Amino acid sequence: MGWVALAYGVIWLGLAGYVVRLALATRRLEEEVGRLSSMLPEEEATVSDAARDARRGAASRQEGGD
Amino acid sequence: MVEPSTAIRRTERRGRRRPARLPWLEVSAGLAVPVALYLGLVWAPPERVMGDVQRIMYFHVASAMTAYLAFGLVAVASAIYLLRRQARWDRVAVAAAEVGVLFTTLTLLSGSIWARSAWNAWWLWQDARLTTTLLMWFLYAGYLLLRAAAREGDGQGGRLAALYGLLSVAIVPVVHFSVVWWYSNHPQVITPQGIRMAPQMVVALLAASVAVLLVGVVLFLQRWRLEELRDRLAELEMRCERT
Repeated sequence: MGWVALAYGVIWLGLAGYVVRLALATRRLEEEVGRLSSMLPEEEATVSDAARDARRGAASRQEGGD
Repeated sequence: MVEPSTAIRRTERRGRRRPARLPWLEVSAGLAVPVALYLGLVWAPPERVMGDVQRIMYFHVASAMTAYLAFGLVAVASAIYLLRRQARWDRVAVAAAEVGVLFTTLTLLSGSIWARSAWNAWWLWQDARLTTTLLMWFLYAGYLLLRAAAREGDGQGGRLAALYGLLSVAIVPVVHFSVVWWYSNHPQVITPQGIRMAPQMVVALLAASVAVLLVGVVLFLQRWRLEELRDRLAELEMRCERT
């Protein structure tokens, strides 16, 4: 049963480590986003996903030269 | 062609779409895991020849299947990104790739521990399943590196990463059928002739597959949310510099 315990330990410790990493990174980014949002006027702070897509698309089109 | 600035202004007015937080999914995953562990470690009988060490197989196989699905999602999201150039699909691909690499890592590690007990060797290079799985790990780790390098560019680099993500999925059937095409010691429990296991073991494998898949989906959604936050932060930093 020792090998089984080792394998399951690796699997669940690995998953737990990843969960902690995601949680810490998310918290740090949320704090940073909150800090920057508070520095900007409300209209400027609201960036829609679609707007970012449009920007990226525009950059992509310019790079592609079409 | 619509001017970029016009498109940006038009889309600024639309709502922001973020991956939804699904508490019921997190609760389901939290419940499924102990059930699957009980079925695999206690309820299912030990294998006749290998004994208890065969119990590693339940979560090993489930991790591998979750990794396959994640890499399939990378390909689908990359294809949509290449067609529509919508950044959200790029973020989906990155999140899925990272979760896929995580589960491939767990598959390799748990398989290696099983091999040490069953074959008296941590790794056999001549085994096609092991070697192709490692190759798959390297391919998608490469995708993550490429995507990280392309993050700043967003244009051609992003498209190149998406193309790489789309083409890399070809390795998945190679890994799966490697045991048929080439030499392999790897046990085959799921064959075209059926599943070669006792019914209780099949139930334990199904439970482990559902549990690991649920955990994988929860992790993917969380990772996707993180990617959204990163882009939002970059955008806010840009706006702060402008104002």
